[in-house]
Amino acid sequence: MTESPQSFSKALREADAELRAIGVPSASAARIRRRLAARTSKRSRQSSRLMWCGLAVFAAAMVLLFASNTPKRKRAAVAPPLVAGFHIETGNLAFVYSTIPNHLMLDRGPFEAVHEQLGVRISGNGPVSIHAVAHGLVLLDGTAQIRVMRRNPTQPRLLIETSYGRVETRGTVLTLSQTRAGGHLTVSEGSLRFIVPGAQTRLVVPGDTIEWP
Amino acid sequence: MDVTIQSSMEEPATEPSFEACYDAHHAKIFHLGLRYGGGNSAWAEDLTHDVFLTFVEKKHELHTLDDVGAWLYRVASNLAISRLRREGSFWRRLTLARFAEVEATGASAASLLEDQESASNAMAALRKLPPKEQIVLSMKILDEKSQKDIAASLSMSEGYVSKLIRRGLERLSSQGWEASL
Repeated sequence: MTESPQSFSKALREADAELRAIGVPSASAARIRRRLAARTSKRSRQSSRLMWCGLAVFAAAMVLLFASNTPKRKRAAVAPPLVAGFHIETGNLAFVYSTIPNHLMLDRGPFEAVHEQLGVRISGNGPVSIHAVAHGLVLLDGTAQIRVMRRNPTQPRLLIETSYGRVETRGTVLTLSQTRAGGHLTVSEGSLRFIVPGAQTRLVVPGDTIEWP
Repeated sequence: MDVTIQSSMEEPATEPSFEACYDAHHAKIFHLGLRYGGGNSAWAEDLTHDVFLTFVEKKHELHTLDDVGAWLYRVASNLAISRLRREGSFWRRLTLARFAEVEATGASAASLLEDQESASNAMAALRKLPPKEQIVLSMKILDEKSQKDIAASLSMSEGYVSKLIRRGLERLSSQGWEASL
């Protein structure tokens, strides 16, 4: 540096004035312009690419949304298997069999079987042996809940044979149990007539239970 | 000596146009680049490019701005600090030395100011200061900005600006300059 200290501020101002006097060389100005133009066009290309990507993603999302909302084809209703005139709606078919016509044997529950001609729905949990006849059922063994669809007065009553007597009804829900030793029935809904040969016919209403022998 | 950039654009409600802004301010920004880059025109080109690229990116946010020139000045100062700091890093110095740019940068101020030895020495002394001190002292001495304005432009506290000025002057004094404001 110099022997006597120089004023830094003054020298720096002189230098700055010289730099300002230089201005912007035309070559520099052109280069800056060119670089800016290149960068801005690249950015606009990038933004346009981004816009198209966004549109593609949106379209894909809409297609997926539409596909997920399209109702699936309904599976064709499969009729429950028919065994001895009974449609087995619930139950393991491995334990359902019939050895003679109109005779249904259900070894293990739970099960639910419907006899459409008779208008009866039978359900239970244990082994049941039941036989369908012209105007009714014969419960040979087991415990089942029997729901008899309501019938018009012009239609014949449904008959359910037990070892002790006969049930006649136009619509009821009853639980019927039949074993070799005896049986019982309980009415849950509606009413029925219990006919014992050689004895007075009894009207059974909900809450009533009849046991035999 | 005053390099304060006054905006010629009075369109606070609309987005400033790039062309108008560039035409009005690019010479001043280039001058700032020469000043902070020690007279290196390539350095000034880079700074000008970066400043106007920032302007393009932020243009849609500037419609409420009253003084675009002041905004560009602030951006230029901050970008200059960033560039100077990057150049001061060990890796950057290695790269520059490899491509022999250090010599070119050092020679540029001397070649531009070859007739004025003291001015050239002052520019070289300024370049030896840390980046923040370079910029703060330039703003203080050359643009005659107040410490408050410098602090606002560089997002610093006034106390820190005062400290940078004091340290810069101390360094210059230690180099034999009469450093006072």
